[in-house]
Amino acid sequence: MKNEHSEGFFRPDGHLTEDGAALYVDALKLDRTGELPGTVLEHVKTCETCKAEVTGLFSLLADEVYAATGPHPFFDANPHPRRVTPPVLYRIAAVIVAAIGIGVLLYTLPHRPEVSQPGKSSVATRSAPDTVGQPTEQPAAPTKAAESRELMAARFTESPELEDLMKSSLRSAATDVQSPAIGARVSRGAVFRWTSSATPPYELVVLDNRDRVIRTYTTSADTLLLSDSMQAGLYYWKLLGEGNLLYVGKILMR
Amino acid sequence: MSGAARRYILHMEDHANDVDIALLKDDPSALILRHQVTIRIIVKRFIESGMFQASEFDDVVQHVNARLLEKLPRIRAQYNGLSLFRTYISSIIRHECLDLHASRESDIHTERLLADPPNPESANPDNRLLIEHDVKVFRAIIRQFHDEMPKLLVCLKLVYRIPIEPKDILAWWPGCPEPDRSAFLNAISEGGKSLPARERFALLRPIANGADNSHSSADSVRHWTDDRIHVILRLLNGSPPTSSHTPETLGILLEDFFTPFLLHRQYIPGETDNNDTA
Ligand SMILES: [Zn+2]
Repeated sequence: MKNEHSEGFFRPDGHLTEDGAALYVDALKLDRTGELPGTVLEHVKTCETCKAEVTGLFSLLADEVYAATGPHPFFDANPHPRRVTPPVLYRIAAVIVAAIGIGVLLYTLPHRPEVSQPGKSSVATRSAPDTVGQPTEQPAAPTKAAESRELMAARFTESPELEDLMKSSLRSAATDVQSPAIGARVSRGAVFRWTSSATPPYELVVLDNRDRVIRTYTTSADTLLLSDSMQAGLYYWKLLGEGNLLYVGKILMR
Repeated sequence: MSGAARRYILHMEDHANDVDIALLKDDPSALILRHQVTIRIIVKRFIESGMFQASEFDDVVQHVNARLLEKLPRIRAQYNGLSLFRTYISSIIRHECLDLHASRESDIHTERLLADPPNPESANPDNRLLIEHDVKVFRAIIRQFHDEMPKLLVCLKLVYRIPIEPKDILAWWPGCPEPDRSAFLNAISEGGKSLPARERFALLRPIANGADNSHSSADSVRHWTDDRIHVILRLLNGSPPTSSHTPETLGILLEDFFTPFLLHRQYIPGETDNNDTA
């Protein structure tokens, strides 16, 4: 039982903070309740409010696996609990740098001469006699590249119908869209924000440049997080409320 | 992907909490994206509990996303890095769902749920999952009684007529003299189980007073136990209620606690789950 680090676990009204309750749930999930601060254990033992908080959160996470979370910020921190400390960031940075390094290495490897393998002549490998007279993929490559360029270009072609619809919807003053701007380059995680005189719920429909519905989201909020990945291309999005079309925008998906 | 690259990615996932903390600092929107699965799991749980309708799933998920985006500055300021971020954000998501439910002031689903209580003994595979979930929650509740747990378990065994063993008494009162222990265990096993609760608790009185170094009446230990049974039931059922456990279904969970038949892992009296140095 740790008694020395119970600061930050209690609210001014004496009950556990969100962090305190979360730590208790961590302890239950990781079978480490005995390492909780004594003040936390003693308080929860006798406080039904905090028991309800801990149990409610645990109940949601009861079936989740807590295997690969890494060292625990409290239980594995010695001797002091930490905030976002530089060593953590350095370690992550090191991992990222190493991953990039490996990526660069993997990218460059095919351009290097092949390394000889046991039982194989390095000369034979370099001269590649078994490829002589065989059809190669060389001539086909430019065609495939050209095809994929064409396909890619087709995904970015504007839709005349949706362009018209977009221009007419912009004249409506009932809905103001803060983000994304018309034609903005976005990716997964983009945030759509608007204010509208229409009553929620809203429906946000994402269409490709051939007017095909790709995604439909329903929300009662005036913000929406694009949580799905989409192919690169030009997309349009419609905002609907109270059964009316409120807005049409376009985005470039990276 | 090469083995080395895969190992590096696995290494990063092994430190998922460090990644969360770095994203919270540098790219909080990416952090919310990273936790979409958590949001979905929690919303799904609330739907299963009857608080939202299945058709509302996407709406509730987006509501939570919108609220998290709004609250990001507060989350950054308030998260003090003592718990796993995954658990911390789960708590925020839970409160957003509870607040949304409360704001709708809709008890329709809850009423429906209460009118149709789940049957823990049903062989339905979905119910089976629900039972396993409740077993885990019940065990988590019992652990929160901390050093009251050994006493509570003996008292619950007494209420539910589950055989009490010497090690149960020793977990509660390690210094319990053998004659006292034997006297109680003999009395309770020789027809004591058929006695009414009040008399069973009268048999326990010398042990309870010795363990707690008190002079309480048998009734006070019985009331103490009844009080905790009600607390456990309220915790199991949640607020707003999402289950309908009764003293009878609590008995099933308790029997499983000592002799698991619903889930693995047996409770061993006196054995803590970790290196408790208290
Ligand atoms: Zn409390």
